Amino acid sequence: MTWDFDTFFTYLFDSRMAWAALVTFCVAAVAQLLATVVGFVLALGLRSRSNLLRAPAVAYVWFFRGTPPLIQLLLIYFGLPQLGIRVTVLEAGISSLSLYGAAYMAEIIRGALASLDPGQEEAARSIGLSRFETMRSILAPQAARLVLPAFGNEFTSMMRTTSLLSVISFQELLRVTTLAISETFRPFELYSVAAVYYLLMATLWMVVQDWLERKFGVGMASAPVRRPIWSDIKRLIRFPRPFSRKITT
Amino acid sequence: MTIAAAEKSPILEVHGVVKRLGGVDILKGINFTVAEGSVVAIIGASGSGKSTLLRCLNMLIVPDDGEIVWKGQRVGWVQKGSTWVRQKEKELLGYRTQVGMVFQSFNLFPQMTALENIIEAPMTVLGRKRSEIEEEAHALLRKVRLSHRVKAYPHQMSGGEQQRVAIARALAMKPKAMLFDEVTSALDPELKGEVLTVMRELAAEGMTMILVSHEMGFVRHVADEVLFMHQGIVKERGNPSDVLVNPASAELQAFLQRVTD
Repeated sequence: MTWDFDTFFTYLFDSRMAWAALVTFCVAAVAQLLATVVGFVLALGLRSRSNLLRAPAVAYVWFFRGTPPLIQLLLIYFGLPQLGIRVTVLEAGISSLSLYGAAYMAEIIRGALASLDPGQEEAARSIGLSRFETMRSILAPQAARLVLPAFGNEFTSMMRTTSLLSVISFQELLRVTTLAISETFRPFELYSVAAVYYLLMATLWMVVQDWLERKFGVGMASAPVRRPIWSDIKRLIRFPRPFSRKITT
Repeated sequence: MTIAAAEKSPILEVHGVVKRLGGVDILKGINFTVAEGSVVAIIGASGSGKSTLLRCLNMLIVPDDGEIVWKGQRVGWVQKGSTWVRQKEKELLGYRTQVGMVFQSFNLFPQMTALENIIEAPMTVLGRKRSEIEEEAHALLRKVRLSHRVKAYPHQMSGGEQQRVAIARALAMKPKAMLFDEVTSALDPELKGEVLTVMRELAAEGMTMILVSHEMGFVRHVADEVLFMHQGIVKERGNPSDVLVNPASAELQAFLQRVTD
């Protein structure tokens, strides 16, 4: 038995695999979005001067960063029904991934907010902006630019972490791949197909992140506006044309 | 203080303001009044509490004790029955819009153009339409001689230009008084002039101004009254041509020696 291109390409363009990849990407995106929202609220808690607000945030980060995401998933999917709370596979999957991701996003957002110039908040308040307006119009957009690179790490990690959901038989990319292997007995080709799909997702995100960084980088002297990353890629794949130019000595 | 200014009722009164930060008494009971349309300069060595005092005046820092009275009304406190209750941050916003502030490090919002910096507060706080406030913003940029920098981002402008945008940003809220916190200290000598010129014009228009400054020449020509702060108290006060020429205390003498050298 050797590497079989036929199997590889058949499954690469198989609608079930493509669908599973799409589902995986959507689950990761939704989970990451929720993780960011929850993480932002937690970050405000972590920054709060009130112990009553800070303590729960610290406890949350401590628990969700300190336990394996697989255990969190199993606690939600198999543990909660024991308490009379029934959850579907999708609910368990998205909620556990978001809760897990939120702990990391909280620390990232807290760090970004802490590194902003305190003069910005002072200036905003001095012209009459409320604390909420200051956060929304002045601080959050500046923090967003600082959060983006770490957010990218988190999101690509989230796309890979979705593979844990195969454990609770959620039909995501890895689960569908495993099922296909049991039909074909061709693990090398099929895991390769899965790897290609994960890479595709990561590539898609790279393009989006690049665009976001330039959008939020406006006016930031520390982050000069960069060329889009695809212009570098185009440059790399442009082959040299040896006869197109005269060589003079 | 000019006679005309002295006759007017004070717009701002400061009575026994005390502030303690990190276990250190920064302000130990400050008293002074500011007449409407007058210019009060606060001078003193660094660490004497000038910046803290300025931030107490618009409640960016809430004083521990004492009173700040704006147009006859106590700032930061409301009377409920027979007791005085501290105002919440939200209730202070209305007062803050009446007192503009300009900072040593400009603090323009880097993600916004000059124009956007100016229209941010009128739009967000006063809820005004962009089209209607933009005209005023252009007029303000003309006033600070930056009509050509409407679409520039802060990092594309010189320090002097940034500081003039910051002044325009504060003026956009139509304040009744302006606070200037060492606004030329971070600027190269050749850029100070353009900012001081704008301030001189504001004073001539009758804007009430309270400024912390090390520009003794500017203080002497523009200020109606000078306060010399030393270790959290007002050590000396009076007409600049008096106080700066014939300092009474050894501390002021030493300070003037240092800044004029």
